Amino acid sequence: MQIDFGDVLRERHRWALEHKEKGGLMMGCYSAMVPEELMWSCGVLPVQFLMSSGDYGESQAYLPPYVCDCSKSIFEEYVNGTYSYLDGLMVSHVCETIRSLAGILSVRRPDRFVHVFTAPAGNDAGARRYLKSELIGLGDKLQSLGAVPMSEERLEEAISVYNENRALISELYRVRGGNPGSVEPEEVLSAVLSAGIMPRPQHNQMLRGFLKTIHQGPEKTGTRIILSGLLFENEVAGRGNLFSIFRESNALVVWDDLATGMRYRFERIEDLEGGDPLDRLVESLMGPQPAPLRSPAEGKAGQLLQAARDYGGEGVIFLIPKYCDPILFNIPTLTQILKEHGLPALCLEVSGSLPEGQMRTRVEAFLEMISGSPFNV
Amino acid sequence: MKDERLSNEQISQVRKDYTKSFYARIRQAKKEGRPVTYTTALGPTELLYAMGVEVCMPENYVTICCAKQMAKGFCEEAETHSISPDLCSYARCGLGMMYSMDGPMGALPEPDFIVGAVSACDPHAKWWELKARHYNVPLFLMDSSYNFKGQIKPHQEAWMISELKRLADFVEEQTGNPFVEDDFRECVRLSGEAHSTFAEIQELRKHIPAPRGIREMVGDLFYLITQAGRRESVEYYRMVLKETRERVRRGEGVLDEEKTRLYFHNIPLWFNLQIFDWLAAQGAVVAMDFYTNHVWHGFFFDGGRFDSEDPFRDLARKWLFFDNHVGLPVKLSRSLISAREWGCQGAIFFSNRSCKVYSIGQPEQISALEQELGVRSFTFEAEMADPRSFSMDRWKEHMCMFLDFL
Repeated sequence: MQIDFGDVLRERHRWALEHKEKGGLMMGCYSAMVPEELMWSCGVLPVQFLMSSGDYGESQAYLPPYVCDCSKSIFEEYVNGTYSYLDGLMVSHVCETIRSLAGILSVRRPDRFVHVFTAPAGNDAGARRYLKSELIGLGDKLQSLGAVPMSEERLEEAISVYNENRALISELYRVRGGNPGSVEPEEVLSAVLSAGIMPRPQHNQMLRGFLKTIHQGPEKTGTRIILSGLLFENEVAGRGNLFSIFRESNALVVWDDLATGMRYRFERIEDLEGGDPLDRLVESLMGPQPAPLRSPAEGKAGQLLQAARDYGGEGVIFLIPKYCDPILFNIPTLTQILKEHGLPALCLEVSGSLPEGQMRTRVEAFLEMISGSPFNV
Repeated sequence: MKDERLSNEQISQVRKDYTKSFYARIRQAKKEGRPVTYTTALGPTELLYAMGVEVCMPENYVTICCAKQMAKGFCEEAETHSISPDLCSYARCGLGMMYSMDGPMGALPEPDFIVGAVSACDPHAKWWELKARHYNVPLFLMDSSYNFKGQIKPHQEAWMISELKRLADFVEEQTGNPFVEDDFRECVRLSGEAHSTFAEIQELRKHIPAPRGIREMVGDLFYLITQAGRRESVEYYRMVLKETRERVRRGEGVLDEEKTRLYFHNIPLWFNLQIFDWLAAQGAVVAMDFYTNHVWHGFFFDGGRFDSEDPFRDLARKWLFFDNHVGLPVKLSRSLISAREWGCQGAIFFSNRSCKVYSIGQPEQISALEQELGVRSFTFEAEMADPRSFSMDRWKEHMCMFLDFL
């Protein structure tokens, strides 16, 4: 059976509406650094906002022009009724824009639950105590919205489901890294994005099936690149310009650390025999975080270099959303460190939809420059 | 008595002389091998001073740079080092000074360590990371939860206290200076006294005519930001309070006759504080402003005082009520209180491309002022520390229409 995660993205509200029909609650989320396991254990489906390109007409009256298209997209769809089925909103403090946006949405829709979740940047006893209290309080708040009360057993089960999901996504990345021609980059990204909008048990089932359909044919040759930054849903599900340019230029994406879903791939919640599942969830949410605001750029550079070593990456393409301060602040350090290690990088400023002309010229020139110079430091 | 009074110019001179001596003190400390830190303008100076650290705030140095019309060159310098022109102009100007090893009074001495704040805004975390990497010195990042609706829960306060204690341990480790609770308690007491005195001065601005204008107040803020925890800040505010009371008693104001009282929202345009002089020439006085009252002073503005008997708790509360840490419901309420209680008939909202944390949510505040108080607003866009972003002629043209409308 053909499994297409693109279909999941194209019907992105279907899963939430089905969950609602069964009496479940839905929480609109931004960034993976929210306690999804806790929500799921309480019968709440976390629905990650996908970014749609558009003219963001409504947002122009309420958001200044110098904020990113992500926040405009969320604002637009939150207020125009696209997400009317949500029972609340939870954003993680990954930038000041998203935190401020939560304030606007709470003022505009005071009837809806809005929560700003802070996953600590550090890892110390004080932050750990805070986070545990915060999660317990959050469980109480969800219960007051009509969710199932928190319980150790249900949380244990949710952690197990999410851990399996991370393991499957990691496997997908490993397979793709080993033979990047075996699966299209859009398929990988669609799979990750889908994880954020559908119940994880079904996603696991789909992923297991999808992994079986990947045929390890003869290895494709091409320029092996790594993507970093953020991409919009339409670029992934709608077969946007970027990946066509890659295909036409014979570029193979071997790895990425694009913003949505990063945590799913990297952070498995440890299985400590007999340990309190809440304590383990706390530990998994402690810093340093994958979000650039909450971790030093050196760490990110190290990840990119490691991925280049593991998968033979020849260059990194940074997709930088316009007005995304945390990513913009990271770029000078990242490009400098990569350069010091001989890994070339291209910085592309992107907004909701990527203009083809200039991007094609820059990407093609970059690929021509790095082609045949494998990174071996 | 008449001969004991100080004019605004004389008070301003006291502050300018002290500012010079403050930067000289930092340089001297560096020469003598005493610890010097860079911290954000929200940094907990009370704790750092209590532990014998000289505190240098590059943001404050940027404001001096702007006043001396040097900011443009430094912003451009930073942009040649891959710092995006879309980023905060404080950060660009500060990084430009760092890269070019220059500044309005020469280059700042190099720090021994840096204290940033991941909770405050994106630049307050990432700008300091770039500095720490450049100088190759340790970086401490304060973190805290979001005070979304102005009601702090015990676990939020406990985390903030824990962050301050973690900082004390870090400073001990970096400097070898031990944390002495009595010294810290005294610094927090002095900070509380400075804030309480500053609150009295702000209260006096309710009088008509307003006895102290925004130009003076943003200058006064220097002591609240960089000198909190030092005796000099208390002495300065006592002097200003005394003079402001006297002006109220005599009915002396920024203007003899106020045609319009305004509320100003956001950071001042540091390279062009003359806009306030121009407003005064049109008969308009900024009777209350967001920057001097809601940002550092938010906890006191909301009625809080340092009265918990625990200096860590007091400082934690001050931190959690900085405007950077509160949600829009709190910001909205503060703007309404400011405009209503200080009798403002109009409001100027500066949509600051360099400061998203203060600018996002302005339309909701504008709407609330109009709906609840009938206060109409004027909005303009620029950046607080990049003069390339602002045209005075165009601003005046639009402002004339707004004042006529009011």
